[in-house]
Amino acid sequence: MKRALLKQIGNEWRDNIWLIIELTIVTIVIWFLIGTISPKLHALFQPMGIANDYENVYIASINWIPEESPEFTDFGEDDNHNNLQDLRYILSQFRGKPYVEAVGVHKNGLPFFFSAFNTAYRAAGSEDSIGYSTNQRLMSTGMVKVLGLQSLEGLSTEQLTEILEKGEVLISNHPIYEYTGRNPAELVGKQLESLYNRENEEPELTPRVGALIRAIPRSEFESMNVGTTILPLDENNDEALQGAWDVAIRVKSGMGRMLEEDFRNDISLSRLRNARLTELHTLAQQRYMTQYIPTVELRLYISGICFMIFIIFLGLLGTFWFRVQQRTGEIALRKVTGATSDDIVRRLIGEVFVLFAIAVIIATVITVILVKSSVIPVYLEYGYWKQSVLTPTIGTLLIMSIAVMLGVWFPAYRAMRVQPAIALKEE
Amino acid sequence: MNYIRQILYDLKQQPLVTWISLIGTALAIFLIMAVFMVNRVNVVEVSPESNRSRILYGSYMDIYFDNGSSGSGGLTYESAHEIYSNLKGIEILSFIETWNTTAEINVPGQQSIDIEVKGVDANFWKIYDFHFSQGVPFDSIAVDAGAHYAVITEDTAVRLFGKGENVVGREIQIDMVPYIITGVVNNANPLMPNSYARVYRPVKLKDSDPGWIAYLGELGTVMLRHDNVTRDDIAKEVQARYAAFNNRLQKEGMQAMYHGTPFDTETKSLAFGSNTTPDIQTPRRQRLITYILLLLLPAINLSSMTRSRMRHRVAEIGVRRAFGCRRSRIVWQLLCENFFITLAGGIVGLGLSMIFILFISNYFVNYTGDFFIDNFDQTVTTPTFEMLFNWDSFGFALLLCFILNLLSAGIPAWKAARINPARALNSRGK
Repeated sequence: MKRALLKQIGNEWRDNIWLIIELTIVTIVIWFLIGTISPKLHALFQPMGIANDYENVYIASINWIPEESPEFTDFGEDDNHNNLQDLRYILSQFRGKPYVEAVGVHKNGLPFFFSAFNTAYRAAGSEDSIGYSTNQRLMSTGMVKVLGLQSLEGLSTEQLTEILEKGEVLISNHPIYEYTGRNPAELVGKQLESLYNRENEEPELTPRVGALIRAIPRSEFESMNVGTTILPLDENNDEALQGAWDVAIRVKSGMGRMLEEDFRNDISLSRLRNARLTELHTLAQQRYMTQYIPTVELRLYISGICFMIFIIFLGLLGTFWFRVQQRTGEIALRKVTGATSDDIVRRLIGEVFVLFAIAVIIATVITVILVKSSVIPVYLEYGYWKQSVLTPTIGTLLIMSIAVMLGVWFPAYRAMRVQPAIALKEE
Repeated sequence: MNYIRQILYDLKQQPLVTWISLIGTALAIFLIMAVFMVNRVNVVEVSPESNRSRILYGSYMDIYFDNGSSGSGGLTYESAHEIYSNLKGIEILSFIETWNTTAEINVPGQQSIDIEVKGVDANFWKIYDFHFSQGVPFDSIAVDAGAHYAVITEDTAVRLFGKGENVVGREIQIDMVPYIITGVVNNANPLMPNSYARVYRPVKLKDSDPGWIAYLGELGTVMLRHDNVTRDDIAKEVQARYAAFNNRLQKEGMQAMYHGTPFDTETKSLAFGSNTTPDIQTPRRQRLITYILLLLLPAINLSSMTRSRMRHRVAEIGVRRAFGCRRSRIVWQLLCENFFITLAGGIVGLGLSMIFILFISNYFVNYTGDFFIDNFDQTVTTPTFEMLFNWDSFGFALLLCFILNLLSAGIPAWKAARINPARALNSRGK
């Protein structure tokens, strides 16, 4: 059987070479495409560290009326303090609305923005030279509920809020910490210092770490980055509030429309003298904008994979359809001499899988060369080899096997139905 | 006519293989044309960027300090002036804000809307060919005086004032500051980010906001070069200006990195941030590989189908060869016949690619070249018909059909023509 199969493949070596070339190219391209989207897909299935009802969270930018506007109110020397007091008043207006659940302000506190305040921390006084790389997010206490921060120790939203209210820090886990042998639980109760402190300078310490939370990446597609540190932003402190970027508001489920209407119609929610809030939109809208590019890229790559599968399907269908036509007499003869339909199908499928196996071997060699010469970039550190190598390899073999099976199925079905008597009579 | 008759005959005799050939060809042409047209969006010359082939950009400044730290962004008026003013070969120089801002716009006493605003000078209107449906652009005197004038697009005029209103001379507020409308222009296209905004106001030149590093600001330059000079000529001059600029900066412990400016429109679309030298070769190489793959793979497939179709004509070829028909004539006829199938598939593919790009391409393609988007319009805009269809595209599609035909039918036709007549006749068409 095996010898006959190999002989059959050898007899049509010219056509088979083209088929092997096609299978090899498609295998490499699919491997590359899966390798490109695999980290993104992997990240997509990781938790975001916040509640995912993004349509219930609204954001409005904090702005000030410029001096050149005729509506500018001149407070003289007390400009800053009065403006901030007005902003606090606007915040209190939101808090008084029955459909609002929580209100907070932040600086780099929201996901779906590309800003990053990256630093590496270690426990104050420790000799740790690697530390914990984190994106620092500053949040007022209301943000815990607005975003629905998730504790890793089973703490409630209220308990996390209390911790932030006490002026303590929240720190997250991150896969990268595990790979570098670090455990953020060890930081709880300790103050942190930056790894980048200059020598001979007294290190600036953060408040002590109060609890562990899930990391908040910048987007659902962010696969390789850093953990999260949440530092308290005191709304009552002028200097802290001055640095806040946006107001974030959580509304009760499905009551966003009411907020939008009130924001449009009730000027006390958007403006008081020089303080004003602009660009009210939901976190869901922000997510759409931020993730538009990776989303379309993902769609494009998946379409590319589908196209490749279709190419292989068409190629095999055409080639094996032709072969079955050519071999009608031979198939009839085999059937007459005792071969079953299963034997005929097995021969065809065996033939295509031998070609596929040869293509996989060649594709593997070429891919290794391309990876080693950096034509195909692959990231292997921190366990990312699973996403960069393992997933694409398994995915490619699986997808290609299915495409190959589909492509050869119809010609095989036709071969099964060859009627020996009729076929031989025609011969 | 005989060719078409032959195709119809094939369709009847071998419907599966012939249809697969057609679908395969259409798919191949569809994909290649889609890639081709998507890439054209960044270079095609349509209003208001009809001068794209002559427009150059000097938008960024990247400064390194002696202590190893660095910063990059737009330019200040002074740095922009020092590097890009009075260059030989430049016909018009315009100073604009490097990045648009989103501002609240409203008619006094009415609801505001969030809209993209661009600060531009008077020369901006000479480089980009906007059509003014009402009024005129603001002039250089207004720009120098920092006048609060604005030019708005037609759709903005409708959103703010309603349809059919004459809005020239009317007041709007931009972030609570009053501006007088001097003109209304046709809508800008979000896929042309260099000229796109919905409201244009005079750029602040000499008192523009300084950045966190001296020499970094919010300005950029747009230049229209003369026909008789190349971008490279001007780049040499700019590089010399950078050298002179750096002589001064060195005394302050700084160095401005030269990243190959000024950029043409295609290069500008590839500029990833303000501190890198755009790599134009890699995307071109990737495009070439994509074209080759998209041609080669279907060609291999179509080749086997072509052979399948020709198998049924072995006897016919044998008869013709027996009567003295030359091989070259048989090859030519088979290629011509196949070309009609390729052409039919090509027309379908070209049509599909246009439908795809005009209606749904924004689901699959990021036209901006940026790594993030802060303008919703860019996510819902697809290229216009005007941007897509021209004789270049049509010619390219036809060329692809020729190549695909040659690749897929060349070897089968050559093999078919080499059949021994006696053997062919003996095969009785099997």
